[in-house]
Amino acid sequence: MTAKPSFVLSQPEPYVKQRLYNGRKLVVWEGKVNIDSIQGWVDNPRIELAKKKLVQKVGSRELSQDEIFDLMKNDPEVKLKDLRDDIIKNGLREPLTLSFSGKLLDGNRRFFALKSALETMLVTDPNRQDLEAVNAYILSIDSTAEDEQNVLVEENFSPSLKIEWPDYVKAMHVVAASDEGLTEAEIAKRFSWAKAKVKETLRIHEIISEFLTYATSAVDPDDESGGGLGLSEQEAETLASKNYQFFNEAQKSFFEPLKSDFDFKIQFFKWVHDGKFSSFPEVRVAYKAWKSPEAMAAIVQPHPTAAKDAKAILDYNSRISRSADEAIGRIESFVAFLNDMSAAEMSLLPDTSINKLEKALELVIQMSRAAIKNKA
Amino acid sequence: MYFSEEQVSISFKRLASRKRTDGQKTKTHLERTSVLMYFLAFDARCKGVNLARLDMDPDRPDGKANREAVALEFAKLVLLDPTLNEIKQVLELGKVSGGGKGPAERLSSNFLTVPLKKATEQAEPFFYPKRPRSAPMVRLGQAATGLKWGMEYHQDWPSSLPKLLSEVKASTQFTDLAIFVMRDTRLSGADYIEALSNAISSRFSDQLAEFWIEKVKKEKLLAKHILSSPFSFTYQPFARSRQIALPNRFDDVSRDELLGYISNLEGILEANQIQFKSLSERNK
Repeated sequence: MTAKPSFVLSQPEPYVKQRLYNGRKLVVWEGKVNIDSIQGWVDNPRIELAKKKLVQKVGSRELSQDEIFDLMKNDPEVKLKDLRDDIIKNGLREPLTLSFSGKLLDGNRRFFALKSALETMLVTDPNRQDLEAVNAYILSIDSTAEDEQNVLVEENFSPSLKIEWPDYVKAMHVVAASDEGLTEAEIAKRFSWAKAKVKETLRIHEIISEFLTYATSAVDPDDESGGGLGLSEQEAETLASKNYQFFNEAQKSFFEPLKSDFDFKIQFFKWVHDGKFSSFPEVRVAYKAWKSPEAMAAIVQPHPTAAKDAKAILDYNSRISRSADEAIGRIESFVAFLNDMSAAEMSLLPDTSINKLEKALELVIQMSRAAIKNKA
Repeated sequence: MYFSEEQVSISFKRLASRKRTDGQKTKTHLERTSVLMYFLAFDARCKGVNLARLDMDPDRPDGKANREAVALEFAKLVLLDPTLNEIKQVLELGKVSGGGKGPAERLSSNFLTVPLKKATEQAEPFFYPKRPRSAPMVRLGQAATGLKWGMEYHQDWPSSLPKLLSEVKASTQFTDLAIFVMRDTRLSGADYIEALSNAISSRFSDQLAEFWIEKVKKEKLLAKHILSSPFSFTYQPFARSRQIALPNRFDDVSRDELLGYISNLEGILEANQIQFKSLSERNK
C-alpha cells in the first residue's frame, strides 16, 4: 500500500485509484483536502504578464501567495469572479490535482476562486464548510517529475473537448423559461446571463418564430408573395439554427422595420433561405437595400455576391460628397451612358423607367433654366 | 354568423405587447392602443357622414354630434362588458381591464380636452400623436385643418399605423386587430378573410378598408392561429361575465308561479311566430 499524503483529511476516508493523464496511467489518492493546506501555483504562466509588472514594481523577489491571489483577482483575463460565483452556486465541479508534497498541479484558478469565495462568504454561512475542504487527486509518493509534467500538459495544454450548446439551443431554453412566466431578471439569474442578453435572445426568438411559421407554410403560387417555403419543421429549425447569428444581426439592425413592414419581413426571410448573406455587414444593410431601388436591384440578382454588391452600392452612395466636382463627374458619366444607349436598347426599358427618366430630365431643364436666370 | 369567442380570445391575446415589464410600468402600448382606437373611431364617423374632416367644436351642433358619434364608436371598440358594477374594457390591446374611467370619459379627458383643445391654440399645424415620433395619424386645429376644432387624416397615416402596432407581439397584427374589432359584428363570407373584408368595408372608410384588407390578405401567410372553424352561428360575447342560472333556482317557486312563467314564455314564442310544442300538448 502506497503512503498516504500527510495533508489529506481522514474523513471521508481517502482511497487509491488509477487515473489517465496524457496517456499515462498514474496512481493517485482521492480524498478531501483543506484549502488552507494548499499552496497556489506561483509560476502559473496564465498570469505571467501581470506578474512581470508587479516584479518591476516590487523588485526581483519571490512573490507571496497573497500577492499572487491579488494578481489573480485583478487580472480580467483570469475571470476569477465568474468562476467564484459559479463555485458559490454549484460547488467545486472538478477536483484539484496536487503533487504528493501538496504543490498544486491543476486547478490554480479554481483554488484562488475558492479562496475568493471564502473571503466573500459569511463565517456563519452553512455552505462555507463545503468550500473549506474540497475534493482532490493527489499523486502518489512514487510519482516522478515527468508524471507531474504529464498532469500539467493534460490539464493545461490539451484542448477542452467541452463544446458549448449551439446558440439556437440555448435560446430555446431561455424561451422556455420565458414561457414558464419567468421575468427577464429571473431568467438572467437562472442561466447566469446578463439581463440585456436575455432580452436580446427573446427578440431574436421573436423573429425566428415568425421565420419558422413562414418557412413551414405551403408554397402557394396563387398568393401574391408565392406562399411560404414549404419546409418541414425540422428543415426550418435547422435553417434557423444555422442562421442564428444573422437573425441576431437583424434584431440589432432593423427589428422595428421587421415588425412594421410585412413585405420586407417576408423578403428578408427569403434572402435568409436563399443563403443571400455571407457576412454580418451584408445582413446589416438589408433594410437599407430594401429601401434603395439601386441596391435592391443588385441584391435580388441570383449570383452569390448579390448582397455584397448591394452593400457596395450603399457604401458608395453614403460616401459621395455632394461637391461640385463630384456632381460634374457623375453628370458626365451619366450623359456618356445615355449617349451610348441606342434606340433599340431604350425600347427594351420598361415604361416606368422611361417615364422616370423623362420626368427627371424635365425637372433638370426647369432647374437649370431657373439657375441661369438667377445668375443673370 | 360571428367570430367564436375562442377565436376572438386567441387573436386578442396575440395583440399584447411583446415588451416585458418586469414589474416596471410601461405606458407605450397603452398610449398606442388609445391613439389607434381614437383613429378608428374617427374613421368610422367619417365613413358615417361621408367626410374626410370632422368639426369637433363643442359649441356647434354638428361639432357636438361628431363628438358624441366618435365617443360612441370609441366605446364600441374598447368596451367589453358594461353590465357589471365595474365595467370591463380595453386600455391596452391584449389585456382586459376592469374599472377606471368609462370610454366616453377616457376619450374626453385624454383626447378631446388635451391634444384637440391644445391644437385650437396652436399657430403651427398640430399633428397627433407626438409619440412615437414620425408616426402622425391625424391633423388637428386651425393651422392644420382650416377649422379651429378640425380633425382630419394626416397624409402619412398609412405608414404611421404599422408603427403603432409594432409593439404587438404577434406577426399578424392587422388580422388579429380586425377580429377583435369585429367581435360583436354579424359576419358574412366564405372564410375569415372574406368575412373580415366585408365587415371592415362596411364599418370603415374606403381608404382605411383598402389598406387594412390588403394587410389581412398578406398576413394570411403567417396566420396559422386562425381556427379551422373560426365562426359561431350564435353570438358569443367576448370577455363578458355570464349570468349562470343555478340548478336549484326553481326550488322556492310554487307550481302556480312556474306555470305562470311557462305561459308567459309561450306567449312570447307565439307573439314572435316561433313554432313550439306547448306543455299541455306535450303531456297529451
